[in-house]
Amino acid sequence: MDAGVTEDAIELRYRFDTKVLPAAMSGWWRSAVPPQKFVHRAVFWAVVWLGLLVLAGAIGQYGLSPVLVIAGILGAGVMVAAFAYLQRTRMRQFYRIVGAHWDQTGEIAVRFDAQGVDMRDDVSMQRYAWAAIDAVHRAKGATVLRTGMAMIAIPDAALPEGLDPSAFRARLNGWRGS
Amino acid sequence: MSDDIVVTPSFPKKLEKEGACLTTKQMPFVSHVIAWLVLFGGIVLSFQIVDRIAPQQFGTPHLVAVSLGAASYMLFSLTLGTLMNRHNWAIQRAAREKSTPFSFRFGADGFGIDARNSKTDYEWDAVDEVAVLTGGTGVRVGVFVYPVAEADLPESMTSEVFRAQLETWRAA
Repeated sequence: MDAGVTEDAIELRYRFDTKVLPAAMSGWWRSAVPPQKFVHRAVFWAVVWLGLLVLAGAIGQYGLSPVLVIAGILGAGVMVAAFAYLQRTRMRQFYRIVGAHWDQTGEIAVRFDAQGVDMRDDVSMQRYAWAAIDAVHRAKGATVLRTGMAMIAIPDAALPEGLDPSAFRARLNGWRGS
Repeated sequence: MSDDIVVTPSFPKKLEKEGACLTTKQMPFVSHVIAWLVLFGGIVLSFQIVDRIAPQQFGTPHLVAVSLGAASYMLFSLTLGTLMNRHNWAIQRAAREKSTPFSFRFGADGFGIDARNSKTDYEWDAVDEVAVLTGGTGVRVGVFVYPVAEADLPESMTSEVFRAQLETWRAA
């Protein structure tokens, strides 16, 4: 199977660079669970901060200093930092464990055509009909295909010259939709 | 030469969730220690800052306020986390439902997954881990953990026997 782009098929050969894994996984995840709309998030935080203001006013009524609210926010801030740190270490560990998988795969050869996706590497062989591909999603530095809860990530670096990522996705979606 | 073991997975919720933890559970001890240090250091620092802002008022109420703030955020983030988790699992299960019927095939050549519209074959080198889960086994390939409940195994086969067989094939 040689790398190449024709009318009927796109064939790629590449080694998976695990550096794109975090971005690919978050793109994959967003294709299943779309993020909250910006307006929703803005309203949510506006309500939270308004609530804090009201709280500051309310405790003032009881003769307590509104500075107490700032003290409370500081305490919450510490928790935010601690949770963020835990999350970061957890994710780094996660990518390390998961990324080790690609030490085994060697060069990956993948073919997209009207029938579906055919992917082979040193240790596996995967065949998907287009009906199995639930989403083709853009991620930073990669294109992600989601099938059930599995992910196929194609790094942008694997695409040949003359095929940019969005054109690539358009062709995949063309096959998927037909 | 042993026969293939073919399994129709039932994906019990508990087993699947436990399996999903395989990739994140091994957080180093040092990270835990650092996280707790950050937490306590941060809270002590907050006390100091509060003292700086309102020196004449520094006292128990402010300490209580800092702690209350910290506790509220913890509660908030745990609640939100639990709700989001539940939502995410529901989406995952629904997504998987679309690929049923599923079957897992384990043999000397490797591990195969047959689903509607897709077919995957892994050599044993691709399998990263055969893990003990409560009431079953988790076969991990990269990010994905394929749960095999003891109840899904062929009659009279226990999870121990199943894992031993997989390890034999893997080692061969």
